Amino acid sequence: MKKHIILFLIAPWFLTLAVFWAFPVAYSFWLSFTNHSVFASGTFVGLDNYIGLFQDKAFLLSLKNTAFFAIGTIPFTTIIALVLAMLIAEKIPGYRIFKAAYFLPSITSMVVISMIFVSLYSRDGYLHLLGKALGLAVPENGFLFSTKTALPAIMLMDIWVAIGYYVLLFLAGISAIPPEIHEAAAIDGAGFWRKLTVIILPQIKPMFLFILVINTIRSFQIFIEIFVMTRGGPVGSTSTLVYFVYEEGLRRFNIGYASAAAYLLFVLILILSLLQIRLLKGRQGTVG
Amino acid sequence: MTRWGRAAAFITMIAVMVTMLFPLSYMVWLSLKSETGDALNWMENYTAIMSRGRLWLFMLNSAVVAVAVTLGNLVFCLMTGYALARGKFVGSKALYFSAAATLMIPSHILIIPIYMLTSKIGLFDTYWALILPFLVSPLGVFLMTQYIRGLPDDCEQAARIDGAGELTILFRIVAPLCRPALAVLAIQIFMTNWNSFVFPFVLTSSPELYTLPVGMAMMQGMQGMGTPLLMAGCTITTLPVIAVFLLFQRQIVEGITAGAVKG
Amino acid sequence: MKRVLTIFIIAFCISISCAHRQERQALEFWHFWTDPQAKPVIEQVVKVFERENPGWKVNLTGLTWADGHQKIVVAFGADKPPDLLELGSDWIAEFAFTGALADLNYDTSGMLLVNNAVLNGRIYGRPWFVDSRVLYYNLDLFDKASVKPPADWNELEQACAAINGLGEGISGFGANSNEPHRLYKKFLPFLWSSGGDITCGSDICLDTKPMHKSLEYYARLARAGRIDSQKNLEDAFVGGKIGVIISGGWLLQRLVKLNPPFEFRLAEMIPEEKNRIGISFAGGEFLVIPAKSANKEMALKLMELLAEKKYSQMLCDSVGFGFPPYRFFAPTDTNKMVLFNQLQNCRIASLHPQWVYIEQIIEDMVEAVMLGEISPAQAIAAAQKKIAETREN
Repeated sequence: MKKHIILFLIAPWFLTLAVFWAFPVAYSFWLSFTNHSVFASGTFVGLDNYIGLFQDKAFLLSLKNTAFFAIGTIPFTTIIALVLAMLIAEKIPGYRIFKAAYFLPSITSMVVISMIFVSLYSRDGYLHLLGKALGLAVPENGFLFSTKTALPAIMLMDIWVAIGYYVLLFLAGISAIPPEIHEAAAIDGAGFWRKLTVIILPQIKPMFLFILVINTIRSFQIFIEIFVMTRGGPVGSTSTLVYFVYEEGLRRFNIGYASAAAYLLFVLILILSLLQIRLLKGRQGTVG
Repeated sequence: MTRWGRAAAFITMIAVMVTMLFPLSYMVWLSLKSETGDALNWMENYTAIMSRGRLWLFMLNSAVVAVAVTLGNLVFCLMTGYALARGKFVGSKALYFSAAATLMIPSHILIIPIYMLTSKIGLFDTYWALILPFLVSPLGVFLMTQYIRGLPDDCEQAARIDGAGELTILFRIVAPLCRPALAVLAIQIFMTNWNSFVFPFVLTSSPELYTLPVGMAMMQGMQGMGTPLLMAGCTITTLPVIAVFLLFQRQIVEGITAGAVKG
Repeated sequence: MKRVLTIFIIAFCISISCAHRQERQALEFWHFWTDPQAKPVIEQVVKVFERENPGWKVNLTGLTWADGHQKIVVAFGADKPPDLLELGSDWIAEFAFTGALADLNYDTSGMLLVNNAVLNGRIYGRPWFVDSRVLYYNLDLFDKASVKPPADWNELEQACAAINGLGEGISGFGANSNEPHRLYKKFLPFLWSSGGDITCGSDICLDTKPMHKSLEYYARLARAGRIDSQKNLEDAFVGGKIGVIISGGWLLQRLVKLNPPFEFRLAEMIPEEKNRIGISFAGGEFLVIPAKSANKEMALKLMELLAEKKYSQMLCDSVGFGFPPYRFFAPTDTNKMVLFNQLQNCRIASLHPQWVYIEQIIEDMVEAVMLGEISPAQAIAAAQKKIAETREN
């Protein structure tokens, strides 16, 4: 291919990459060292923003909430999705319908889902009434109006939403396992548990790790749920990192400060992802 | 699995299905209820939200943005994929891996710099802000490069010998062969953009530019807007994606798993 | 040939009309009436203005309450404000203190809430559309609980507690949470109605006796009822599940339209002690002219026209609630009368340049006490400290 044609072909992606990915990443890095606000283009303040963040109770709370969210959802989402994927892979009658039904929440707008759950979790909502009927100690004003249950309620919803997507990914991994292995297992008469630990898990390890990575990236960026359901309340108990960035940056226009928070989040996710990718390394090609 | 095991599995899966479908059915049911009690009033909420909430406009915006972004991705990802799969040039590898790398960047941390960028270059609060940044998606570049790499290149070579130009080869020969991958990509991009909230929310401020999810989120705070009305709006927002899903289930599943399996 | 000629003539006419249009000077007007019902009213007034002032055209930009404030801050920051602008009543101070608003010298006699636009003797805005917040009672629930509509705080609390005791998912009082810009409008009226305020001179003082009293009282009321979002509260009231909530004129409109199967009544804010007056929150839309506008005279003209009683009334009619900001107005409907009478005893939050920050600090404080996280005294001390920190930055 001639050079100018190659240039023409790759120009759109190259421009997108430069303008909407590389530049913003670099620009926010610079902004995070300034006191940029909407009124002034800001001056260099060194590490002030970063130091300030670690003394800011609101930031630390949103960091804690985000970590709690990730730790409290990722294992459940992963395990439930894996089990469901294995059941679907058994081709039990109606499995196609199950697969489609499980995936339905994943294609629904998060705004819509959040609004539905605002209603379900409210004092007159069915989930609240169900909890009461089961004799659980449900908070009096509905799940979203108590500092103890608001975040767990949103996490539960998140698990519900995300499962279908990971079921599909696990299914792709499971169906890529060579049929001989399945047959050998069937001849051995391996039970469900044995099949899971001895055959499926080792075979789908790369997919497993991939799911961990993307689930981590996603969980650390939770925003829509918070924006629609609680606005970070009550008393900051559901404020997450991205919500903090939004509040500081786009509502109060502390652009530099918010950029620093966003950058910390970026570095945090990067470290976690790299850690997980290291585990993934050398396993390419076993799937797909 | 034993017969009992299968029965237990079946029951489990039915139970999970009910759990999965309940909230969405609840939405539809609530949207049919009158505001004062349990009486059903069928279409009343729908007509009310359509006129009061300007849902038509939001729907049009969503459609314009999603279609424009999808078309852009079809053309540009095909171009880039072709260049990366077939062309040998300095940096082609780096460019390919850049697509994989951007998939790892948490996009929400770019809210502020992209907001600043669009306001500086005058794109803020225009259709362009909703379209331009998403015209070439890393996922698409990734997917198309992979797919074209897997295609045999005999036809291309033959055409080249016949003196056909590269662009003719790309759009006349390679593109038709890529149809399955392009279908997967198109549906994936369309659904993502139809549902997208964060960037349309941050990059616009005029209600004339709201997409459906943004419009719905704003309506939630409107005075005197009852839950049944909102649920009618939510149902209207959700129906098109469910229709697309039922029609193109296979492509959607492929699109979701393609990125993962090939990575 | 004929056809070519026709095209030529049409093209000529278009180019002339374009040229003509470019000659007209533009007036930028930003407003919040993007509702499909209200927008035509604004457009109609603008048409009248353009007819009366040939050579001028008005460019309308619609803002939303969700992020309009953001856009205005950006515009002032970039020195590109419009010529005429609609502001929520609690934002005037923020922009006036930075010198962003022009001093408007006009006759304010007979106008409601105009004091909320007056700072240091200067008039920074003109009221355009006003609405109050009042109490909504579900009289059926009052009857069921055998209580009478209250006249002071004690009676209100007892009534709410009695209704709350009815069970079956019935609540006494409806208190707000999890939404910015809502809770303070519901809480401050209690502070005001017990003789307190949050300002002392140009400062914010929270550690006052009325504040302790009203914070404790509001938390008790919340316990004699439910804590929820305004939308859920209004849904529940419409569904007959709540005895008392605070809301504005839009709820009356909704209730009249839906005609629920119970009797309801509006009442003015309850004072702490009988025979004092209950003070409520005033929601108001003001028109302001940025100091940097190059067309102040014309902007003032448009402002006068928009705020004319006739047009202001049309605006209220189009959305179904609210009042033109004039004292001589008297609605016939008894419930509407309550909303209008309350306007005579209404305040806005505070004329403070950093109100947007303080507002949230106060809401967090009330929320924490309401949910029983900390004691009122601790919450007040923490909030006061936070406000001091905000001022330093």
